[in-house]
Amino acid sequence: MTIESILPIPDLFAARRILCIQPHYDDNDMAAAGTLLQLAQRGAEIIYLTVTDDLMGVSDISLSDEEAARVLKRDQFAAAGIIGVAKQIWLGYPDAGDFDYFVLRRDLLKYIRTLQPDFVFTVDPWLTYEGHRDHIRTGLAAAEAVMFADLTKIASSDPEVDSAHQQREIQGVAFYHTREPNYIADISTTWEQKVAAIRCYEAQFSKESMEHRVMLLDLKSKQVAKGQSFERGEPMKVLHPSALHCGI
Amino acid sequence: MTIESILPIPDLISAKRILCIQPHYDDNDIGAAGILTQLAKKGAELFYLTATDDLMGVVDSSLSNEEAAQYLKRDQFAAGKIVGVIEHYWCGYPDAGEYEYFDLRRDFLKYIRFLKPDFVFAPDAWLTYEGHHDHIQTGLAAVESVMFSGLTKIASSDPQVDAAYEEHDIKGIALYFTREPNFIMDISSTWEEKIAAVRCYETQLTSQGMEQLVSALDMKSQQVAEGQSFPRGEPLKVLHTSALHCGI
Repeated sequence: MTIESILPIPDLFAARRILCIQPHYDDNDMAAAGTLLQLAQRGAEIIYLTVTDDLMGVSDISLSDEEAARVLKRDQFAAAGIIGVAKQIWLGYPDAGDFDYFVLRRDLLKYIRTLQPDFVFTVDPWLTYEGHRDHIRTGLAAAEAVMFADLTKIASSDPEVDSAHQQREIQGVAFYHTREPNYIADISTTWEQKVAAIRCYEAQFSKESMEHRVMLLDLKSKQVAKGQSFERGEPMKVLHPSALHCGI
Repeated sequence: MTIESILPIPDLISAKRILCIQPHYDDNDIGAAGILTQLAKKGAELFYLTATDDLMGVVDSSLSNEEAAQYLKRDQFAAGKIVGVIEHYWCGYPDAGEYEYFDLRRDFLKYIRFLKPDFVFAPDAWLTYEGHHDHIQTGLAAVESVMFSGLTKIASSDPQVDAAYEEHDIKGIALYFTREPNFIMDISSTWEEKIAAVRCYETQLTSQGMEQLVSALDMKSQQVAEGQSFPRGEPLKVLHTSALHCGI
């Protein structure tokens, strides 16, 4: 028996300004590019915030960290050009590394208070069998930053941002990479562009592993659309911010 | 498919001495006042242990921390009277703040060894989509303290308590704020008292926030009772203490 939230699922398509908080450069696109592209086409402003520097998975080990960071950003901008991302922010925490949860939460509070999104996308930290700590930390810190956005007694990493903050309602959070979706977005019309965006991430994938990745996304997009009226989907847990506490 | 524990669900109704461990001042009552009131009426002794100082959510920002703490306790004593709490203890960790998990666990071990409850209540740390770090930390530390209460090599925060401790049997743990209950308690007879207790927490809620909370609890209590023979319930995961390890 699983008891779901009593609160209605917020309307993702009413979102006007969306902050997409991802552990690594390509997570937003891997999981949600098909949805985000549709939202951008409807006029939503899409902002990406990347928590880690993503340096661990760069395939060409002859690159210095600086060179690797440059090619990662080149890839990310190319993908963003396809999706329609308006702005990119990087926090630069060490990939798969030793960073503090509360420091991360303070940074996320700062950007949520500064950018004032009406919707936040992030990874589902309650995904069972997710082994990557960066994903769990990022999802949990994003959820707390959404819950505490208006409680400025809980300090962000920038006191000026806290003192200038004006309360603003966040309509919802969309958790991607989820096993417990309450919404499957139809991405049949944006599938080709999603794959084109994914193919931009050359620095992190060999040719062979890219083909493998595209094949997995292909299979997964069809699996999650089973029983739906469309062919391909992206699964999301879309929740009202008040549903992030006490199981309401 | 979910594989449940093979151990029988302990009999909550026969509990005589109950320690209710909560992250914030009002969680025990919001999560379980309907049940706890009934248990107190049947003669169980109720002890509340509050992990954090709860200062972040205080509505009147003109109050000093000392004044705020006074009001929070006033509210808590008023609610405690309705429910039948016989004693309150506080750990005073910073609300939504940075404290050590192991410090918290040592404090919980101390109170469990000192008070010798036969049943422990705590929030369900495995509640999916619970974003509040305090809830997850408190729930996990409560569970470990129950498991380790008889192992005095695992030190509490008070060596004298550890030295004086004589092993006692904890019959079970009841986890509230859960999506995966194995027990729904009929709270129809104590619903009015529960709401009266929740309404005591004036310091943390605006009158609008209070009405929203009461209406959410109203809906939730009916949702969880669907398919039962009573109109209102509180959901619990009630587990044998040996069911807290290795999926037994």
